[in-house]
Amino acid sequence: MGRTEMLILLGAIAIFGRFTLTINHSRYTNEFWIIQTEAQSNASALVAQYLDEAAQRAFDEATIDGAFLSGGTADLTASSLLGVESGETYPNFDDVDDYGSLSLTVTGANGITYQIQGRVCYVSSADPTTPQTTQTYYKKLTITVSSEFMTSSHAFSRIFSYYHVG
Amino acid sequence: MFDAELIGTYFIAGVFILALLNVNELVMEDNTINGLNVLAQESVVDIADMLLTDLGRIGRGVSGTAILSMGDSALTFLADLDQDGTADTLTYSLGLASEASETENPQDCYLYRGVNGNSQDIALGLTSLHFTYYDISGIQTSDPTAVRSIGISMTYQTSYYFEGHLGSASWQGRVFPKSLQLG
Repeated sequence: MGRTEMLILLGAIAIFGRFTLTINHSRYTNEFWIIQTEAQSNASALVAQYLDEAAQRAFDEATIDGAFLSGGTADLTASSLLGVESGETYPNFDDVDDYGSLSLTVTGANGITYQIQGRVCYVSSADPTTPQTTQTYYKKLTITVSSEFMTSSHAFSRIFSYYHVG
Repeated sequence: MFDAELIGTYFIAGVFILALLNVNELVMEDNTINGLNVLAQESVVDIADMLLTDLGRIGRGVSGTAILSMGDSALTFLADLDQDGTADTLTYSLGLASEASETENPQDCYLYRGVNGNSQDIALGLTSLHFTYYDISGIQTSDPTAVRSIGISMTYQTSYYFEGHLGSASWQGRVFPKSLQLG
């Protein structure tokens, strides 16, 4: 075998090697995406669960048991104090903003582990995206879920409003 | 007569072609297995949608206790499904694996949905279905009058194997029926 033939053979081996690596990478990527799709499907169900659960709680510590806010928004928890009150642990939360302190590690039915984080702030009806430093009748709860099987974390928000049935 | 270079060339080309065929087979296998997994994921999400919709109606138009019986993989409840002013009795239950003997998968079961006593199989492929019942504090309860939310956990598997593989997907969620929050 001459030098030319040897070079052609080496070139063929290099091309074939590269081709095989590319195929293997595609196989791995496809399988990862399949797992990620399942992880995301379960993650969105998990987040919906916590948002629905928060909707069952009182709007604020001051409105537990349907208490009326005689002093208006001034009676509500200060923006800087939003979050879980002393002695409260999940699942024994009693108001929406307790879920702002949510920090859980949950294992789904598929065996995938998720990290759940909550964040809460006041927003205004005119601007539901910008956090307000003063109390309003609207609280925005954001639940973020992440997992090693998801390339990025996912955040879902819901705005809860105060109402009183007199 | 004996051309060593020619024989060597054919040998190397043969090795390359065999390797290519092997890679191609692996890719085809993966595609089919991934397809089965996607099928399982779509199916389990479809079943979840159905359960979330029906269980979300528990107690609608019903006065009194809406949950008639609550089991690990069976649930019977009242809900006015068609909003005609009369409460309907709905039952969800997982059948036995032996009922689906026509499939290759020995573990898959029918999911039954019964309305006012008329039960029909609405899905095939669930290998597990678990209901968990929670009270207003999110603590598990066995008291039907205390239930405020229902956890659903299930696993779906395809009915047929491919090269020893089944498509499989799990789903877990919780439903908070609006009518139960009023109780």
